[in-house]
Amino acid sequence: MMKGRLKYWVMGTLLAFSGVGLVKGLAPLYSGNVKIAVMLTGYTLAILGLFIITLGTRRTDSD
Amino acid sequence: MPDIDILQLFQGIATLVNADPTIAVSRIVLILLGILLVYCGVKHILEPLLMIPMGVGMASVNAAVLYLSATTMGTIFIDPLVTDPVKLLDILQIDFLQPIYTLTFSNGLIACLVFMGVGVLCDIGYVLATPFTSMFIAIMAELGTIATFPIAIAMGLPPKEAASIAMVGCADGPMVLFTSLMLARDLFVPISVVAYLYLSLTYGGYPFLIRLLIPKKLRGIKMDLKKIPRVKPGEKIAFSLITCTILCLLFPVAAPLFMSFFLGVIIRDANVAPFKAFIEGPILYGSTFFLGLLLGVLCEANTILNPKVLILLILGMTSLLLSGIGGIIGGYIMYFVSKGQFNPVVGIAGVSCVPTTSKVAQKEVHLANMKAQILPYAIGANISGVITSAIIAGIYITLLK
Repeated sequence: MMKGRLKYWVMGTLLAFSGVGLVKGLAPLYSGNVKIAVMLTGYTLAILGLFIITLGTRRTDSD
Repeated sequence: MPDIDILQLFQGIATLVNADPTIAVSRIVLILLGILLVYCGVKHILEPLLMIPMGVGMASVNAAVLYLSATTMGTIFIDPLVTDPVKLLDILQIDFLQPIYTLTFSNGLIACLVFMGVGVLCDIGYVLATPFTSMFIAIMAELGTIATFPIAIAMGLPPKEAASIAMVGCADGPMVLFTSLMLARDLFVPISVVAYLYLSLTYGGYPFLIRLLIPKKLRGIKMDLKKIPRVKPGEKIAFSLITCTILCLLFPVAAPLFMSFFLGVIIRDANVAPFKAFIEGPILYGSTFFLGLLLGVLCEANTILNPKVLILLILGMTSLLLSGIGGIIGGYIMYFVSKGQFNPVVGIAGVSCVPTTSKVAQKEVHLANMKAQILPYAIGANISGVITSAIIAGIYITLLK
């Protein structure tokens, strides 16, 4: 059960930090609409990552 | 017998007589308003923790105007407009509240300390238990903070001031203070005062909004509390730490708020009893006391009298109202998505005035159905509201600063 939940933590954390990487690392290299698109994707991934982590905290009675 | 000028003996009255009539009338009105705030605080009509120090400060500062020199009038409480470092050093040694203002207020420290206290009061487990619902409602409850921005622009405010007053919709005092300090320093006094006055009204006003928009039958819906998953303290700490880091990386300008909030959350869940007691006691109450007192003292007629105040009053009310409506719409959407299992009153808790809006929601549900409990869901939405408000503040500051 623990292993099953761990995957959400790992996936979520990686996704969230990838989002940060896009916003802070990749987006400044571009300009105009591409920059905005990369930034929006980054923000979405970061927030999505945090949501995925929350799935790893769910515990049922069998746990 | 020497020629005694009675008015010079009582300088508070002399300055009132000799001042510009508008200022004189404003001072009298503000003294009366201060007394009214103290009355409302003592009678628990408005939040006493803020209103009593604020009211006393407001009445005293407007009564205590004196001649600082032959031609200039002022007080020896505080000078918020001084910017010259040499003058500031002088003032720090004369005005008795200036050190607290300069070292804790104008740099946002007091807002962060209050936020730390709010963090200690929040159980992030409720957000983790129902993350999608909580965050969806919280985002919907940001309707005021988002929609008021273009309205404010249309009413003639520059973008920075528009964003600051729009933040009143999040109903989070420290957040409004922090944002207006960052974006609209010239207007932060009236904006913060408007925000704190209106925040006190959420307790009295939101129940009417709930009753107006949600029929009694729906207000009494019982929610299944057994569905709420349990979350371990370690998981709450890990999640808080990751979320804090991610949000600080994304919005460094709002990092002091994120750090303060999540530090409080982590200390709560780490169960570090001495720190917990210190933050939820002396820090939170001390900061709230000085915040109220300084806001009151900053309401000196010369400082607060600004032609934009009326616009700010209208926009603040609009923002708070829209946020409440947005939250309730979010609650209704969840009600339809869950096929009638979700109580739409939870929506109002998306407005991040912790824990007032949660308490208001539970109270209204209780009045409709004695057996209905929604508090865990309401607290989840409430804490998510704090996080989304900080994100919106971060976005505004990043885009406009």
